[in-house]
Amino acid sequence: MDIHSFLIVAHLIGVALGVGGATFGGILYLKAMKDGKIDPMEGEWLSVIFMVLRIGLAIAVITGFGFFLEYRFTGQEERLMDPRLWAKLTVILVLVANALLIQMRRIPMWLGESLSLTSWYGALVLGIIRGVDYSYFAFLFFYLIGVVIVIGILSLVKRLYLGKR
Amino acid sequence: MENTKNTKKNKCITSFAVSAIVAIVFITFATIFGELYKPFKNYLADTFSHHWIGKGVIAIVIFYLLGFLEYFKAKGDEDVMIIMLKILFWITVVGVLAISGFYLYEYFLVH
Amino acid sequence: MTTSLSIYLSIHVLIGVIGIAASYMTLMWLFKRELPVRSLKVSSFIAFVAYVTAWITGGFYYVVYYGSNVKPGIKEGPTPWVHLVIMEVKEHIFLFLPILAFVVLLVIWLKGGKLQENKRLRNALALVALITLIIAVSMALGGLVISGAAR
Repeated sequence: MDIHSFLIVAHLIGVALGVGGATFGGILYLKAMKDGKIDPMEGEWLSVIFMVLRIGLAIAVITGFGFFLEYRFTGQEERLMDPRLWAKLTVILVLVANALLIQMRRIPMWLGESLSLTSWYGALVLGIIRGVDYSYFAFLFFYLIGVVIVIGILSLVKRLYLGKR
Repeated sequence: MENTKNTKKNKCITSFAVSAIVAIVFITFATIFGELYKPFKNYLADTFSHHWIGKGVIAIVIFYLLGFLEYFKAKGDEDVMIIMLKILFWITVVGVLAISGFYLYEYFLVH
Repeated sequence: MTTSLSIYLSIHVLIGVIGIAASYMTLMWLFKRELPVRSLKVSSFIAFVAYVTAWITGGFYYVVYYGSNVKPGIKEGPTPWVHLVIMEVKEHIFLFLPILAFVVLLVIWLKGGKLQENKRLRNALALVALITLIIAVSMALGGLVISGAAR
């Protein structure tokens, strides 16, 4: 296996763990909140899921920088200026800042959850899509729309599942 | 015994916070001064083979030497220790803004 | 670029990212309800060692190769600001990192046991850890831009 293939496999594993962790973390959190509180067992499961999510993030970020080095060493430096890449980096920065704010309890959970989910799926989509020629700000605009949509969806899901107003 | 240990720890942290402040102020000053007064930059380059190495070496010497020396002067007061850490934060912010602002100014307004 | 320079640059980048991750975890753990002191000691130590290593390897690459081989190309190219602003800022502000990381490490190692109950100290430490993290992340992003301009 050459370095490029190794980076792709490792990066995808990181993304899978992260996106999966964020998704199932959200689902489990919702289920745990059905009775209005998170009991110790539920807390433990959530802890494990968020640990896996962080490992995924670490793998994705480190391999991401591995790609950057590959571009540098193979004469593909212009790829480092790709607006799609910078939009993805911005989304990742939002993701980690959001996680920190959640930990500090400085962000309401409805916003924190939405940012987390949108950021993970946004980074996934930005990593996969090809052949789109938007500017950095256009990508961010779509991301913001995504955040608003996810806030709406999560709000609806909570109302239906948890019976909240 | 516990109190003495605690005081020594506070002194150590305070002294290195102070030396960190001085080192960061030096780096900021040396960076901006070196660009405005080329003989200083040339002196660093001639003495240390590269101006950047010179700034780094002097900063580290300041940090560790002053940190060690300040220990004997520092009081083991916890409030002072906490204040020094906060000052370190703010000095770093100012240093970052000063260096960034200087190079932006140099490029966009002077160039 | 020689193989050894590629290795130095690779170590600089990857260990820098590890430093960022360690600083991030330090900050995250400072806000946990139950402070994991042992983990904090490990993460602060890793961050410090990582930044020192990144400093040495990056410094070697910068002094030996960047100045004569990359800088002229960037300055004469379409984006001279990448060197004149981004690189100049990066090379000087980077010097703050090992200093700040050492202070964070010192506080955690010497007062780790007291951080749980001493909220004032914890908050002051968190400020220093936060600015360390912000600087480290900026360094990484600056490095990306610089590499992108190097043709």
